[in-house]
Amino acid sequence: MRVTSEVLVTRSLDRLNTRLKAYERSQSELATGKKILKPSDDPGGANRSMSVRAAMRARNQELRNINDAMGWLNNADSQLQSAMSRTQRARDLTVDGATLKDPGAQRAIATELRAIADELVGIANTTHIGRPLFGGYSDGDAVTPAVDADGDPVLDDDGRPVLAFDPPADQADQVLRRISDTEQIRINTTAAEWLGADDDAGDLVSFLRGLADDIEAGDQEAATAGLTVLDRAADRIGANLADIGSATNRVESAKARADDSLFALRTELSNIEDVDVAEGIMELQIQEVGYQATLQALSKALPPSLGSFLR
Amino acid sequence: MSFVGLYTGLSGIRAGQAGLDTASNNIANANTPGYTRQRVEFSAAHSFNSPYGPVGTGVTVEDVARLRDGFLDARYRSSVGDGAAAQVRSEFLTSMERLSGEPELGLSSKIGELWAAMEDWSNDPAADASRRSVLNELGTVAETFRGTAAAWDQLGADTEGQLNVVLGEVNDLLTTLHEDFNVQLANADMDRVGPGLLDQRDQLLDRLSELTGATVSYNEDNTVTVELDGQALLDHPAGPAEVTVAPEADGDTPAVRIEPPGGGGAQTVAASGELEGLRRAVHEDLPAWRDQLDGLATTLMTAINEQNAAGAVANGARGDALLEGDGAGDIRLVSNDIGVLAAGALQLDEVTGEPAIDPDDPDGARLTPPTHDGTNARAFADLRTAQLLRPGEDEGGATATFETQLSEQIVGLAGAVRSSESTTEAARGVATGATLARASQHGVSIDEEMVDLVRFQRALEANARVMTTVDQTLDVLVNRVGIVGR
Repeated sequence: MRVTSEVLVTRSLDRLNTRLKAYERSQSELATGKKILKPSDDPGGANRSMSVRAAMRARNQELRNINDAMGWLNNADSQLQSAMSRTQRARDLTVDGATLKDPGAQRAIATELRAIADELVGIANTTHIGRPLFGGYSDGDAVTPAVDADGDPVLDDDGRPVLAFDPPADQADQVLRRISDTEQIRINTTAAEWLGADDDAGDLVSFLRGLADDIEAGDQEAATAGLTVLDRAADRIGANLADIGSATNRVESAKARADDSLFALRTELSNIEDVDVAEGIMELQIQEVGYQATLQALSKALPPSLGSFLR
Repeated sequence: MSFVGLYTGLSGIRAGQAGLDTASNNIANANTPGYTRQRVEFSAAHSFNSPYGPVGTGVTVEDVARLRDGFLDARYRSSVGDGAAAQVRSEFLTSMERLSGEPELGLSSKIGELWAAMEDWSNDPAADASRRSVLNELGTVAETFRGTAAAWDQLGADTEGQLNVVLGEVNDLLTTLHEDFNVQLANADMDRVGPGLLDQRDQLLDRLSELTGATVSYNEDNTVTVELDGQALLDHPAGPAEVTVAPEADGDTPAVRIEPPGGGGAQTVAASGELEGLRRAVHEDLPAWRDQLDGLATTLMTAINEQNAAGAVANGARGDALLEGDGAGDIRLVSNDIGVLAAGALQLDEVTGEPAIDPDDPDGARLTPPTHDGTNARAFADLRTAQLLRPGEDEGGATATFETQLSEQIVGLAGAVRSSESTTEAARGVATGATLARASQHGVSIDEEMVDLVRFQRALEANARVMTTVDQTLDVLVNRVGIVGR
């Protein structure tokens, strides 16, 4: 093959370009720390990195959901615990009411029972970050005195005000949080559920108010009969506590899983996308040396011609 | 002894001068693009019969030859077209990929933000902030669709402009080759046609091959015939054909077509070169990817609108459409009012199937969902993992999650870029080989020319010495002979 100056120039430029391209590539990989700068650098890797990123986003969102759920569940748990202790106190008082015959003591018991009833209303109307904790989807108080269309209070047969539940007993609103791609768990219980709005003896608050009236009136039989109702109420609150507790357990284990999975995903993403820095620096060095060598060779090869040696 | 020797020396001096002139011209044009190196060709002059036998009378300059190898030209022209087509198309696809903004700034990340916003909304359906953020993210996704579509359309328009420029250049080249070369050179005396004109013609033919992948044949009458896929682009005396890019029938993909010089119906041909690369990019690649983008936009729009219609807004009515528009180019939010998001469950009248009327309400208003009811917001968030009908599929057809459909598009485009790059690389290798082979044959080697300079200089000197020698001999004969005893 004849080596003409055009051949020399064409081939030198071609080699220089190839070298420079490789050098530039290793430089930008090292500078950004990423192997995949655009999807076409590695379509398969880009595909995996996109799905890993999507999965990471989902796990992060789950962790946020879980934190939010924990807040709800912890608050519900502590409120129900105190409702439970109030209910047990009410039962103790009722036992006293069924035996003590002193009107003063009976009046004191009645007063305390009414206070407990009010306290239970307070617990039922607790809010969590601006939302009623036991109010399901509703806004405002979960337990209110019922009113009719004209705004007058509704009274029962004994002339006592009836309570309205929002949501009502037949509508168990489900406040849900997603804790994994396939699992959503309920993190609430409604006031109607744990106060037993559909109990034959009426809800716990109304029942305690009635019981207070009965004990004040010295009706010890009613007090004795009330004990079974109170046991039932305590069981109901206990069951609700157990629901909240098991939800807490599931959320906690979901949190551990999401954390684990996030860690694994992060490792995988790094394997797909990130440059091994040591390797990257080596590569850059090699390319730099190569580029310099090409330049050297060119500077040596291009200028001399026979012209320089003839006189 | 005669004067022949003087003329022999003279012919040698003339040959040496021709040699020096040619070598200087070669050196001067060493870097001229398209220049073909020249060589003086000598032959021995006829001899005369002296009494002692035939004696030569010097050297004749036969020709200044243009060292062009038609086979190397053909090899270059057949490879350069494919390389140019692949290169142009690969640049186009790379631009498309860059304009899509993936993986950092493109749809894939915006969609992720949208799902996150929807999930936050479902956790707190009544909060204005979470509703606002859903609408914002939805707006961003629509904007990203529009932005990508607009950028691609602009790229397509620019490339189509480039395609028209190339078409113009091809037709101009054909006209020039016909009028300035074929017509002028037909049956001309080639000894009077300078090699420069032929170099110029070969350069135009090279460019034509780079643009279209055309092949060239040289005719006896000094004209050239240019063909593309078996169809004549240029012939003598018929003249140049007209090259267009047009659909064969209405609704077809535009193709490269050749209208013969005398009319008689355009023929569709398989071209290569920049022309084909640009045509394929504008009329095949862009519409295909653009359709996919439209399909994605429609899939998302349908899913979002159907989901909103499945829920109830604050007054109990069905949610209205959230997104509108025809494809990715103009997908946009219908309303920027956060009240249009249907978070709650829809309560339907069992008889009419319409949103139920509140039996207790004197004005006949609809049943309204509770304030914090996020049932439908949750269903929105679940769209992330929902199987959505693929674009163009009928009910019951193939489905995939939106993220899968999106990543298929991104990875599909990336794969196309990748394969077009390797095609370019391969075609470039072949073209570089052909270019080098040609440069090696047709180019000027300074060293060779240096040697020639030295060679011809010496020849010149030697011939001058021949003349001096003959002159001195004659001097002896004329002036010194016959002076005995003077």
